[in-house]
Amino acid sequence: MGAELGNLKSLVVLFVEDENDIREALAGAIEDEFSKLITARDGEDGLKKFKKYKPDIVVTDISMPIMDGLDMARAIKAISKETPVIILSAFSEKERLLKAIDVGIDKYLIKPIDPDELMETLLHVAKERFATSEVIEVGGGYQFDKSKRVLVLQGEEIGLTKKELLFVSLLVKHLGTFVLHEEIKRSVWANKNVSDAAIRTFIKRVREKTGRGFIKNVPGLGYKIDT
Amino acid sequence: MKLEKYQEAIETSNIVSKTNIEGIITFVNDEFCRICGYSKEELIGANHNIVRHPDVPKETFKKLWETILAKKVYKSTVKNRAKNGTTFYVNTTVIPMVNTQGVIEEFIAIRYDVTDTVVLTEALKHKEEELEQLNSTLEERVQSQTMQLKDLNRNLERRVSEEVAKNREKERLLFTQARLASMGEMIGNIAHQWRQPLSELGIDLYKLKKLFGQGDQNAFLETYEHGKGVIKKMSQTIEDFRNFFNPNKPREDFYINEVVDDALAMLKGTLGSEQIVVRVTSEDKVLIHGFKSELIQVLINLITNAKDAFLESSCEQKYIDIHIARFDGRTLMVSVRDNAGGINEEILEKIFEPYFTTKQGSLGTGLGLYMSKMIVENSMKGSIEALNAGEGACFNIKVPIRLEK
Repeated sequence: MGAELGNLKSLVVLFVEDENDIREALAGAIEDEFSKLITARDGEDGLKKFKKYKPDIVVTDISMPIMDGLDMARAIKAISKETPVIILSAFSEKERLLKAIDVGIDKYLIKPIDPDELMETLLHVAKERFATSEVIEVGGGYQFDKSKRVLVLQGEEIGLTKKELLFVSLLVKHLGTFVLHEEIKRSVWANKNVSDAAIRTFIKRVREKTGRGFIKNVPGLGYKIDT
Repeated sequence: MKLEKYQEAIETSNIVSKTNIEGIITFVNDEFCRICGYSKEELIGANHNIVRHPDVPKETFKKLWETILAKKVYKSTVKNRAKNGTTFYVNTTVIPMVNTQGVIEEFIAIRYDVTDTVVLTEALKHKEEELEQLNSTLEERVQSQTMQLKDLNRNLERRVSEEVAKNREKERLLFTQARLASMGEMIGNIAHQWRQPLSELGIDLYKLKKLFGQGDQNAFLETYEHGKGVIKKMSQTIEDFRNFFNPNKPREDFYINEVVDDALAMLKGTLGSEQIVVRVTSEDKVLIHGFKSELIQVLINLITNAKDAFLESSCEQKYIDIHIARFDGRTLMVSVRDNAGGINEEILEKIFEPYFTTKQGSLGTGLGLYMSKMIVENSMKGSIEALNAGEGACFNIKVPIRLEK
């Protein structure tokens, strides 16, 4: 893992969190893994520091005083669309999470914070953002070719329909973290009215083609592909 | 001469007749003829029973004859019949006339007409009977009406007690619902309060893993101790909530300050993340009596309401002020006041009603303030009022002070 984490060594990361204890403790635990870890105590402070330090990745809490994580993310995306933003949120803040789809948040992580999960997510975001190859290693020996949009297992292409590929590429984009039900509806069915039962049948078919463990259910939230 | 005058006086003012000892009429005056309708010629020589009325029983005549033959005066009101069949009544005095040898020579009967009086009396009697009849039916009718009323009353009583039972059941359900709702809220508060220490523990574990690889023993132990501290904090939170949920706690004496402290301890996580500053001022430390956890529940409801009100207000700094002071010699007052903009005056009097809520979607059950009122009034024998003060709402709770014996 050390070698992989090495990839983060060149990155500048902005971490925005209003809880002093958490902010200081997490910064203390992970700052040596990056080129630089900048911390901010709220959205306004975060936006100011984003402009000043131009970080490669932003990690932010969702509910904060003065300016919350979503408003800050919106402002950051307006300045720099490509900068990945990772949102930390409690399960109870699902209402807020739904708004995050419109903001174009790249990944969501559910609190309490698991630093291992955070580091893996950061690594994937970094790889995706700065990777030269179009082929991404996903879990279970699978590879996904982003430009050709094909899912490959040990050299064999898995036969997926257009819609199924759209779904898999959406999960791959959020590799290691989950995609909300609402976002799946929006991206794969282009907001057309589709029943939850139809979605379940659709996902069941994809699972039959890929093996059950490939796509995981996150109860009450959505689906994910692990690394 | 004088005697003749008497006779004349009697004969003109009375009805007079004479009979012999067998009862054969020997004399009648004009008055007698007039009242019975017979002429003198018809009467003289006839038996006196010519005017007898068939209604009069034989015993009456038997008694008359016994009396006068015993040379005594007979007095009676007699019912007679006139020639034309009409009835007349006469007050009669029959006097036996006895000669010097003590032998009855004849009978003189002196009468006066009492028909009008008797008829009137009878009419009166009849009326009285009617009245009596009326009276007795009236009583019957009153009795039957009373029965109906009683029946109605019994029904009403039954229906009232049925309704009361229904209401009681409804209230019990309401309380269970409110209890469940507040438990849900409490679990939310625990989750909130645990989120931060769980994050801290996660970070500590991550640090430990890293430090283990680096071999930094001091930093390792430091992180370990920190983690232990976090766990202690989490245990305390659980203990606070466990005490609160224990339903078997008896009535007790306690200080209101403890209630405020406990409520704030449980809401610490929530209040902190919403950046709400709570300021507590206490003028006095006074004992009160009741169920401590119920009053904590009331405080939690009020503070949670204030917290939710801040979601829709745009004030710069959110304050909740809790003030404890004696209201008078027997009453303690706790005021919970915020600066979240206050309560719309139009709904101010409805806010304690069950199921009344202004909160969006799943946030409000409309039971918090209702339950608070029930607790303060029934359990604490106090009162609660809501008003707008300054920049927000103010709730005043008044409870009786525990008087030292």
